[in-house]
Amino acid sequence: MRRNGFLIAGLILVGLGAVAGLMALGDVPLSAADYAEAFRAPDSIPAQILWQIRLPRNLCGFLVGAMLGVAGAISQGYFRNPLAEPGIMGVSAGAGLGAAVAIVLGLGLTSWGVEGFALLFSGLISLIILAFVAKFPDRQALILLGVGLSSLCGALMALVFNLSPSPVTTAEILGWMMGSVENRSWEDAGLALIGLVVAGCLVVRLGRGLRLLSLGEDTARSQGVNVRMVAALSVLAISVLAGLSVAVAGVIGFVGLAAPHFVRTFGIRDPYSLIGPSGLAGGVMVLLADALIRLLPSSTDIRLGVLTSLIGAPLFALLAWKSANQWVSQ
Amino acid sequence: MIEVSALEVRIGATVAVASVEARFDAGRLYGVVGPNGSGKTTLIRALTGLLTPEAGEVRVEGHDVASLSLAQRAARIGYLPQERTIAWDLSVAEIVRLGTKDGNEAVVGEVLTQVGLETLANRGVFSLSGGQRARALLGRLLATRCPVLLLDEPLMALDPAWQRQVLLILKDMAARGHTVIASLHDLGLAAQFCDAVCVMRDGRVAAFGAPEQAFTPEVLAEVFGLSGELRTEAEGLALHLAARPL
Repeated sequence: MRRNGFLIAGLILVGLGAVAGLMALGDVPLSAADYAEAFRAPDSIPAQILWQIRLPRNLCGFLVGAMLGVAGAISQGYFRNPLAEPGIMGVSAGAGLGAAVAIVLGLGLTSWGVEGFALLFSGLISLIILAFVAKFPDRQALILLGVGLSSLCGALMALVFNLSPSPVTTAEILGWMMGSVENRSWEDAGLALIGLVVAGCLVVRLGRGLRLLSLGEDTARSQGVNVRMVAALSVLAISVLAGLSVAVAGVIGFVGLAAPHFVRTFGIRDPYSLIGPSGLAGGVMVLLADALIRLLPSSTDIRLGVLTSLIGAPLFALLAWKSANQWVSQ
Repeated sequence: MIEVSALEVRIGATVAVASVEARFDAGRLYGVVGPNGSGKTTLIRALTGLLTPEAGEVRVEGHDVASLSLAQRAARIGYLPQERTIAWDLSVAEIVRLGTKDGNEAVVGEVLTQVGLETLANRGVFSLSGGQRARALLGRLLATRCPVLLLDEPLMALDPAWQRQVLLILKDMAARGHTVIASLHDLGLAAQFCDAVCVMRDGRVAAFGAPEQAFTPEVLAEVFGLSGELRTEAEGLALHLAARPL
């Protein structure tokens, strides 16, 4: 418990430090006088840069990372699988498909067009999954359904590319799919925050269920856990988080998978206690990746989702190697 | 106390348990024995309420198990399944704590001592032996403090000394007033430690009663294909068995 508290406090400090530090990073260099003016005159250009561009971007980065971290921890806890990640049920693929359709329909420049379509499609996928869970509350069957839905969305995405009216549209879709928190607004940050609050309301009811499911469904049921309810709440929370994260920032890989494993290296193994720190770790990961993007020369134009995967994959391989050693010795 | 009447349970189209009539009293340790596939696990799962019977009923302390809510059932019946999978590297204390309702540390400490894992309380289970892990899971069951304790093969993975120790723990729980029912494979240990045994064959009860009544040479031969006899020795009942030619 104490270890959990220290980790949470440490991650909050690093997260706040990163958000504050990143206020100084951007295309336009600001002097001390500019910062003073930003606080003094809300309509000044430095104020616009700080409060309307950098702060929403930083908050979006942190909140999207937190959504992915929380969704990853719930996924791994519910599926009892260290390889589970928020996209396991196909909701992220559905949101990506929705965004692509919106862009092809020319809604890329309208406010909320892409986000709205991403949410609509992820919502439809979530409804299919929830209907399935109500009838078959079996995690293995759910994984199979998720693989099927992801494949279907992947095929439809290929069709969208195929029918894309111009190379510009195709590039725009690809840009979205590679994930970014650039030019995000306060509304985007608000959307991410809503997702976290909704998921938080669901997660608080999962503690006993996720912990007891660690010992198998029979043990959990014998101790009074409504396994069907745990499945429904977990699926709903993962769907909301995965769908909203793609709607706000596109596809950002590896954070949902790696954040819970990062937290486990601090000795926190209980699948419920892992959720909060995993969210904070996800937020910090995305912030740091976004910081790196801003430090790289602008000509490189590396996207956030690409960078998180590039950094996350080798780190994850290292964690997997450590974990595998542990499991082999079981 | 558990009363079972005309119980029939199907797994798919197969009748796994049929026509079971039995009464398990509080304060006694019962062994459910039988060859592989004889219906031991199905019977125990039906007693927990995890399996819905096709016919008949199971009454726990006078209540039909099927009519109890999940919480009411959990307050009355503790269950240790045969499946010993642990998904995460939880500590021994965390696993035992899962059995308690409110994380009562006094109960956790007492149970850790009972299962001999007090010095390993903070160790992750992945670094423990199979037997130590089995004892941690037994600790989770004991921490439930349920009046009825059902255990499916609790001696699996335990060394001979701990097999006896676990049976002594179960006997002690029975002496404290719990109804304890455990499926066992070792007929000798069942004869030595159990107050009564339920011998299963092809989903039916072939014999039920005190070991000296249930383990007759005829039952041993017909159910297990073994020849043997039960003798009273200095340490109590001892079963002397020899395999019969198949």
